[in-house]
Amino acid sequence: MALLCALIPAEAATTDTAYVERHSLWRQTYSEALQNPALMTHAYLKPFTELSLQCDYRHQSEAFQIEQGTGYLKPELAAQSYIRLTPSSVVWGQASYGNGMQYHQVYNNVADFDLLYPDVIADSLGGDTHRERYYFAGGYAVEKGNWQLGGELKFRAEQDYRTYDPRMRSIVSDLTLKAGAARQIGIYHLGLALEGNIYRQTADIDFYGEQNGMGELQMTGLGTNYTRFSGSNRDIFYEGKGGAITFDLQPLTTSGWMLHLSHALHQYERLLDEYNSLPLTTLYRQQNRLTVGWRKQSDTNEKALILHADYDKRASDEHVAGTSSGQEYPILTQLTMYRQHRWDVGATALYGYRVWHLQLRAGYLSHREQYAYVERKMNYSRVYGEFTAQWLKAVNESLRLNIYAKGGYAANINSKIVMPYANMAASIKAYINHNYRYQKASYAQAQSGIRADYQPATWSVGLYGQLATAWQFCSEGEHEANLHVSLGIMF
Amino acid sequence: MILTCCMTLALTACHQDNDDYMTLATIQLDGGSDVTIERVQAMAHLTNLNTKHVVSTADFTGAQVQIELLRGAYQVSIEGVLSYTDQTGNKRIRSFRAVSDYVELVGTGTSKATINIIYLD
Repeated sequence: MALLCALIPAEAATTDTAYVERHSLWRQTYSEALQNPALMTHAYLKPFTELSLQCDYRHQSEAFQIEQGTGYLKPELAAQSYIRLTPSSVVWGQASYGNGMQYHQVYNNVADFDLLYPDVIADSLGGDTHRERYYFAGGYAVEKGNWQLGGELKFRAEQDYRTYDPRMRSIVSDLTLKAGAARQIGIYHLGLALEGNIYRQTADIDFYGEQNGMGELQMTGLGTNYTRFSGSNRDIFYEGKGGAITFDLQPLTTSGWMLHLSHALHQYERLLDEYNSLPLTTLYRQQNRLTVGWRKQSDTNEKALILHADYDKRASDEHVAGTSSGQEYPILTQLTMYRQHRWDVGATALYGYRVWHLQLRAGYLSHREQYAYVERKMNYSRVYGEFTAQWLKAVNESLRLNIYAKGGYAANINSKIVMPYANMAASIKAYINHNYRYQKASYAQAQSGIRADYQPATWSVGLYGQLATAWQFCSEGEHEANLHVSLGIMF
Repeated sequence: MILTCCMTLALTACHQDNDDYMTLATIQLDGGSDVTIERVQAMAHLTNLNTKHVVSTADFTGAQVQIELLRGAYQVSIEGVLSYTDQTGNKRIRSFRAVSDYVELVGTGTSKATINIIYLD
């Protein structure tokens, strides 16, 4: 109900609540609270269904992170819906199918690199990979007295593959269940949500060319690898599980303080297929987020000030294998060889006046990675600032326009690398130095986009089109270009 | 919902980092019960089986050598010269080799392994 109330003045400001409530920059101040499915009960005033065909394209003149490649082309067919069943209950759902390409990925032969780094299987050849992705999500929320209850299920199936040597193929299944509750206490809504996740990925690499049988590296962080089981062992799988807890405090009225606290723990074990599921490494990932904010709405304007602090930690344990008995290797001990700590603290100020929204965001980012023995370190920190302006207006009865532009700069303030260069292979040295070159760089970014929605009063279905572009310019002289196009219908 | 809650609560317990990386390893040379090894001049090479990292030392005290190592499974190779006293009280100096394909040196703090020697002459 808090969300519903909060959005009502926006109607006066822009004359089209349903449109504003889904696309306004102001909406982002609610995005964290809506991670709790219980708070979806009154997330939108009006139900909607949207079908879209969209395409994202990215090109980097040189890969900013070598494992992520130089860019991608990702066409996607997507549908999403939010339907009110009764005045106090809603269902929502989302489904999408994507089939695209990722270009020139090196030192990464698995899907979901972001989740699994540094525990990936890799080689120095790499190449272009195909990505096919299916995603489904659905949820239900209901209000009973002072209580709101909700549940949500998300499922992702994905396969990444390459059609030439090294022929990697990764198949992912990723299931997340979420349950949430919120209760009205005084002038606040107090929300609590719990989440469970089950993850599995199988990854194998084949070489069809007789001359091409090169070894694969079981990477363990900052250019190191689990040498004993690298080489011809090219069939691995990951088993992951995790959970998250989030806590929210949201004001019932349009103005007031808000708080969001989330804590998530995930672990991903890498196992070797060929040695009777021998566990090689286990990655423990911890994500924490604290957001404290204040916002105020009146008939004509909106103000918000939000402070955030994010802390993300990765720790990778290497399982020390003993001598084999048959194909069984006992695990002698675990050593936490790799650690990554990432802090992001900052503030966001938002001001909206009728059809305009202006947002200023500034913060500090610290990234530290280390490998315990032989010691390796790679650190950098940046300060960043960005400014966003949005113009959102119903031009006439049929046409609504959403135009936005953003500019920002992230300046490196310090960086450090420690590597045992004398004992490193030339290819690994080049790989590490390449990534470090872009980590210690500064970045300027510019972004703009337009979305037009067209629905004459006599039409039961509306049409929309969106075009957006984003550019990043690196102080190393390289750049990144992004293009997003989408076309769709909504009703 | 119950499943979700249980999973979340089970995982709330934080992962404890395993920071005890190093062990003070003692490699003891065993020349048999009828021999007392007095001095050793030899080079010991210890290869970590998982990382293939090699550590070398020649710092013998009597029949043993101590070295700080990453905890793990090792291949040990020692070759050099030693002096010993046999059962009859005779002192001899002989070349020897001691090799083991697999030694576990995983103790938190200290680890110990004994390796048999073979004379080369």
